[in-house]
Amino acid sequence: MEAVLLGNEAIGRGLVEGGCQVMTAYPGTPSSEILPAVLRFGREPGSAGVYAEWSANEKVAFEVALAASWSGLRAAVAMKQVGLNVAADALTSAAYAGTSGGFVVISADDPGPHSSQTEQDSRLFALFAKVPVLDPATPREAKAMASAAFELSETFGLPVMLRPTVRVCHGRQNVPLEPLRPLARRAHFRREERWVATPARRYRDHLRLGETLEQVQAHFARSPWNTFPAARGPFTLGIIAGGTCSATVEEVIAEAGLAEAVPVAKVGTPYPLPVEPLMEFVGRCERVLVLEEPDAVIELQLPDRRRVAGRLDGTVPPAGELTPDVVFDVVRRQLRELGVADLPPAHDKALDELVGALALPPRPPRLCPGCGHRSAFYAIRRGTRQAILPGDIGCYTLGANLRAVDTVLDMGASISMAAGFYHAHRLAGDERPIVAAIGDSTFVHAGLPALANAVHTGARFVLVILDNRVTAMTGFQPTVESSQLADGSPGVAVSLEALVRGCGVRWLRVVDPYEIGEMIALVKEAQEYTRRPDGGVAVIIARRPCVLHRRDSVTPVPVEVDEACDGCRYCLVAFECPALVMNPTTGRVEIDRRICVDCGECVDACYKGLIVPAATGSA
Amino acid sequence: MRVKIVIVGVGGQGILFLTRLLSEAARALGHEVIGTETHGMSQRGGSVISHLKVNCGAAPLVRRGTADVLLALDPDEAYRALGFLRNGGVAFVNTGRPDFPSPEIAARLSERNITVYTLNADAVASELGSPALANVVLLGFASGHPGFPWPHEAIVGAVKRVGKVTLRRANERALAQGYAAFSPTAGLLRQESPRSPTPSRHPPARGDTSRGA
Repeated sequence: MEAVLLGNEAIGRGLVEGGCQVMTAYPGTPSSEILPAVLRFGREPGSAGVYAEWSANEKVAFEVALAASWSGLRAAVAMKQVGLNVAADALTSAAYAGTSGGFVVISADDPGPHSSQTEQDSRLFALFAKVPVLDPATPREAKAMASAAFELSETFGLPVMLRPTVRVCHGRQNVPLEPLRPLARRAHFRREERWVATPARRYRDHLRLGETLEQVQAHFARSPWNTFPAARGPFTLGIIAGGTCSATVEEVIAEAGLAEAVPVAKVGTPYPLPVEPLMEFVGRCERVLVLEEPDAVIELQLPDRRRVAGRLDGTVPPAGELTPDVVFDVVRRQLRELGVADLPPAHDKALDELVGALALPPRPPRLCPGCGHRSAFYAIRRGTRQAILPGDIGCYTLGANLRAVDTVLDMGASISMAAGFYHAHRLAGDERPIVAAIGDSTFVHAGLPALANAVHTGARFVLVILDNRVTAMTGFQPTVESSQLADGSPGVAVSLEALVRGCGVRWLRVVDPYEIGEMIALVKEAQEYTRRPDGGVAVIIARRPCVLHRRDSVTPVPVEVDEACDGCRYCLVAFECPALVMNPTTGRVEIDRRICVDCGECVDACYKGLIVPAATGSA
Repeated sequence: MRVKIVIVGVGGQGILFLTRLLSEAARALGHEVIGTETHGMSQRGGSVISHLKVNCGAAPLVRRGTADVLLALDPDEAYRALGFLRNGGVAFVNTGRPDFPSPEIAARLSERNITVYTLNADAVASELGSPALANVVLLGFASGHPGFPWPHEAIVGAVKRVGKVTLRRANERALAQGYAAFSPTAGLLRQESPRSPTPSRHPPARGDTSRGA
């Protein structure tokens, strides 16, 4: 059997084929499709059945899955690379403690970055935490590695990281489907000294971890995930490439007709690096180019880099994705410098310049037409003056388009930084308004400790929780507020209001952000509360289902633009809805009916009253 | 069959669905597929690009200057992606703009023997009652080209197997409508001599004039 699968689906399939019984994750692009695939394949005949959950954050996810491993089951946890920062405390300690059942940590990297706040390299993190890493080049390899990672983990008693990049996660390829063979395992936790992290014990654990990693390194030197070119040479230029880069550079070299002249060593096990065979290869080349993403991990571990070129010496750009265009340029320069070949340039510069001259409007991501966050941000802007507006991670980062988000750092920072801005400015007697905004899922992920801390320290600011009832950006995964779990079974809905009150907040209001007037009044009232002698943190829950997820939640209010529109652009800037467009010919704003969802919210966005509900339901 | 194709448009236009259709069609013919697509942030109304390669090895991305085919659901995104095409490549673009591509760019494309076919797939889809079908209409249009790497029947087969069951009939109709929009006078749509282009030789926008599958 074979199917064309998304890389993340292939990983999910590989996990189930490998006997995964517990799978946890916090959604994050490019990792979000792994858990649903595990659920899907885990229902097929032959599977032992899988418990899978969307956890509140990556650290929680990691620990839930690790407990299954410590109970003897095969378990996996998936996250995006910045999620690994959140789970780092658990990861570094787990390497010392080791595992019982196979334990696979999937951390998806995002060279580019395409949808992340950093370009950090999970392999580097694994090196830091002393955890072996597998780096797949393709969806097919990712599936095989996901399955094999359980064996590897059980052989050495360590967590094993699978590190796909976005091009593997969101790649698509024919993948063979092996039959599912359930492992006959029952969870059984046994007391062991190593499960208790005491400093005295950890010194010995650390020593043993080092010895185990040496064994893993020797194992990787014979691993099928690496290919070392046959003992020929000498070569003028050789290449060492990791993960997706190996497939990319092999194609570039083959298309240039240089497959014989320029050998490529493929590394699928970047840590601990099989140094010996690689240095033997380096010894047969005049120069070796190392291509890897997003940072230097293979290159860093090569003990003698006198013949090595890569990220560290500036040969390869220090940031950004290694697309085939970038790889081609780097390889072409090396080939010319070394006198191997003189390839013609790949770009049609003339065409690029002509297209550049068109000055096409950029297409940045924007909040969807009808998004409740837009109405909330519009109300925040209307209800504040000179306020500091800390924001957070999610769709609503795009509130920056409405100039309603001043800062975005990481998950949960809106709340802690709002408190920080308050304390910093208060030192100078400056008590300017501060209105933070955070999504419902992000609030539970990392906002709760920040809110308790802010209340406790007497910070004064307004917090708007943008509650659209799902983790929208990543594909509508349930949150703790949902009464449904990842697999559709019933879950206990946790109340946001109770969480907020539990953090000590005494001023809490809930509003539908579509009621813009009401929300503006609440934003003002909340600011008054923060200034009262007995005031503190005021919380507004702006609750409205995600319009992409629940289109049926919109009561249609078709609108039209009056012919008196003078094209002042106020609505375009202040409301920033993609369905409001300027017609350059008429000089008037028009409604783009193809994408308008008839939410009617923009009626508030024309202060001249020229966006009006349609007279007859003509729209 | 050895193909590199790039599919572009704006989030929400169904780029990923086209990628799935073409992947499935190629797989059913026994071919090796690899590709990669945009998810996440860029899907919120941003530019979306999907790369798909058939029997081309294991690298997921298409290098600029090497694509055989470009499918563009939006003219601005088409402009941005034209650089992917190789000499002699073909682009199928959803646009109602009569001035697409611009004369200067048309001239450059002609020099490189790149052909552009346009169709107002949005208009065809609206006629069919669902603007969301423009993606499948454009695919049908492209599959009407005798040189399109995928046999039309293979795509028809994929449409019957991929996506929501409730939408399959509509997709089949959209595919047929797009296909019909190409076939009757396909030759006329071709740009003429690659060496002496003039603006008047651009293929006309056709969606409204060639109906009736």
